[in-house]
Amino acid sequence: MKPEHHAIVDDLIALLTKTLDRPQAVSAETALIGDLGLESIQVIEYLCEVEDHFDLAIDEDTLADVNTVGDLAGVVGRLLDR
Amino acid sequence: MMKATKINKLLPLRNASFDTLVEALEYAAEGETGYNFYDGKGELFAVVSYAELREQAQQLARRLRGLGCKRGARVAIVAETEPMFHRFFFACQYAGYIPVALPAGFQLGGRKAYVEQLERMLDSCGAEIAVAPDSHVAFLRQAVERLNLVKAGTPEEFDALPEAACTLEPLRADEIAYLQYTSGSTRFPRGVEISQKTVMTNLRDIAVHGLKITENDRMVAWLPLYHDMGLVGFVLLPLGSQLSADYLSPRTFAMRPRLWLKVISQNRGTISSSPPFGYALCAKRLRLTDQDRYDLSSWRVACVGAERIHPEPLRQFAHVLEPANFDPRAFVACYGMAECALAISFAELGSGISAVKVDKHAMSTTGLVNLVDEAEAAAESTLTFVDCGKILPSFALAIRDDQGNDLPDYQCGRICLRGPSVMSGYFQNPTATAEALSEDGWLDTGDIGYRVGDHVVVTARRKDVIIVNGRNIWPHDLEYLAESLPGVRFGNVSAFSFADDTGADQVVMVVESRETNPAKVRALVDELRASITAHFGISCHIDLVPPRTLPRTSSGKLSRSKAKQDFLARAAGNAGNVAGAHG
Repeated sequence: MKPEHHAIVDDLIALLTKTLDRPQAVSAETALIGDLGLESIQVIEYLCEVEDHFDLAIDEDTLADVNTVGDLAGVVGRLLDR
Repeated sequence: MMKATKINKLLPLRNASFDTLVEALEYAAEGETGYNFYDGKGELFAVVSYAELREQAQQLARRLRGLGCKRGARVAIVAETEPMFHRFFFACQYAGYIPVALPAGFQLGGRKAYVEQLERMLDSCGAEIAVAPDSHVAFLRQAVERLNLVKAGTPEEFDALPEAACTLEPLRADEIAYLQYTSGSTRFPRGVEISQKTVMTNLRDIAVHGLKITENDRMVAWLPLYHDMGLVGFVLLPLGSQLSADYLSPRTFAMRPRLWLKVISQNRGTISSSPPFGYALCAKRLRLTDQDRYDLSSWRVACVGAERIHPEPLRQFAHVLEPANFDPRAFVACYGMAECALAISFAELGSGISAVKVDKHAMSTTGLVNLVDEAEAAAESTLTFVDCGKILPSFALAIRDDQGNDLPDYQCGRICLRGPSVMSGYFQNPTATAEALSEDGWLDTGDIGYRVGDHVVVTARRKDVIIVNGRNIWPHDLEYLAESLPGVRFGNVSAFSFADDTGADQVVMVVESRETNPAKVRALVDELRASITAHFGISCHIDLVPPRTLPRTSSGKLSRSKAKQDFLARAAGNAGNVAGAHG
C-alpha cells in the first residue's frame, strides 16, 4: 500500500538526519541545498539512501526541480504511484 | 544474456599508429573488442563493439549530412555515459562535423544554472546541431530556445531522419577532431581546438610510452565523458589501441563507488584512473566486510591526475584495499590538460607515488627547490610535492621566469610546452589563444613547477599564486590551514589576492560558515586571521559567507578566479567597506 505524503516526509527526514554532521531542525519546507549546508557529494549520498529505502530511481530531469524535503516527498509519492 | 566484449585476442596490436580517429575505428572494427556500459546497480545494460559502432556511426553520419550543414559544423552532444555519445561522436568523424561534448550536469534544484551553462557553451562554439539523451533533453530544449540551431533533440529524433545519398568524407589528419571545454571556465567557456594529428600524437605517446599498453589490457572508467580524462583517456585511447572498455556513469560512482571496484574485479580491468578525490571517496564508503570481496590484482595502472596530488588519501585507499590485492605500486601520478589533448607526463609504471619534501622558506622566497630529508623534516617548514614523471617524448619542456628566460633544474617557474600534441588554439577566440600560445608554438600552461632533467613536478597553478612583498604564497596552504580549524570544513575555503588602489597585493580568504551568532562569527574571523598571521606572516582579509556561496566548476572544484571576481563584486557593492579593509 502506498504511504501517505506525511509518512514519506517523515521517512525522508529520518534519512536526512543520518546524513547531517550535527542535529538540525528539518521540516517539509527545509531546502536541501542552502538551508543545511550539505555538500554536493553528501546530497548524492542522501539520494542514494532515499532510492534504496523506497526502492526506486529518480532521474536528473526530475531532481532539477526539487528544492525542499516536501518537493522530494512529492516526487517519491508519484514514483510509488506508478 | 548480454555479454561484455573480451580483451583483444584477434588483431595485431597497433598502439594508435593511425592518422585519424576514423582510421583507428576502421582498424578496431576488424576485431571483437568494444565498449560496455554498466547501470546504477552495476549490471551490464549495453554493449557496442567497434564493428557495430562503425556501422551505426556511418549510418547516423548520412542522416546528419541530410541536414545540409557545412563541413566543420559543430555538433554538441550532452555527454551522459551512454552508447549514444560514442555513436554521435563518431558519426561526426565520418560526416566531417566537429563534435563538442557538453556536461551532463546533475544538481538538485539546479535547472536554471545548468540550462544557462549549456546555452553559453552552445553559443560559444556556434553549434548547429545538438543532441541529448532522454534524461537531459528537456534542459537542452530550454537552452536552445534563444539560439538558432538547425536541429536539437533526442537520438530517436535523429534516427528518424532520412539518410543522405552521399559518399562520406571523414575528417582528415589536418582537420579538427573535436572541441573540448575545460572544466575551469563555466562563466566564459573556452573550447580547446584539437586536431586529428594532435590527438593521435598524444594517444600514441600515452599508449607506447606512458602506459605501455599491450593486448592484455582492459580499461574501466566512471569519469565524465565531457572531461579530457574521460573522453581522451577512456573513449579514444581504448579505441586507438583496440582495447575493451567498461563504463559506469559518474553519478553511479558518486552514489555507489564500490561498483567501480566490482567492475574492475569481475572484468579483470588493468587500467583505471581517477582524480585523488575518487580514491578518497571510495575508501571512505567501503564497508569492512567488503574488502576481500574484490580481487584487484589485475589493476596495474591506477592513474592519479590533479593539479596537486596529496599522497595521504592514496595511502589510505591502498591500505583499505590491501586485502583485495590492490598493489600501491599501481598508482601512477600523471600531469595533463585539455590543451595538450590529455597527457603531458606519467610517473614510471610500477613505482607508486613518489613524494618529495622541500624547504618551504626557500621555495616561497626564491622559488628554489631545496630537498629536505623526510626524517628530519618538520611538517610546518616543508612542502610536499609529487613527482609527475617524465615528459612524453613528443613534447619539448621549458621552465621559464616571468621575463621568458629558461630556468635550470630545481628552480620554480612557468611550465611551458611545445610539440605536435599542443592544441592549435581556443576555438574562435584569438585573444585567449594569444595569451596561451606564443607565435613560435610554446604553450604557457598556466601552471608553475620545476624540472629535474625531463621530469616535471607541478607546484601550483600560476594564476593562483599569491605574491606578497615578493614572496610566493600558495593558496592551497592558506586554505589547508583554515580547514584545519574547527568550524571550517574541507573544500569550503578559497584564498586569493588582488591588487588594491596602490597596486599592492591584498590577500583575501573567503570562508563558508553556517555560523550566524555575531559573537561567534567575530571569534572565528579573529582566529583565522591570527592563525594566518602566525604561520605566514601576512595579514589577510577574512570574508565569512553563507554555505554554497563559493563558485564551483562543472567538476565540483572550487574556482579561485571566480571566487575572486565574486568577492570584488561584493566589495564594489558596499564600496570602501571591504576593499579597503584588512579584515
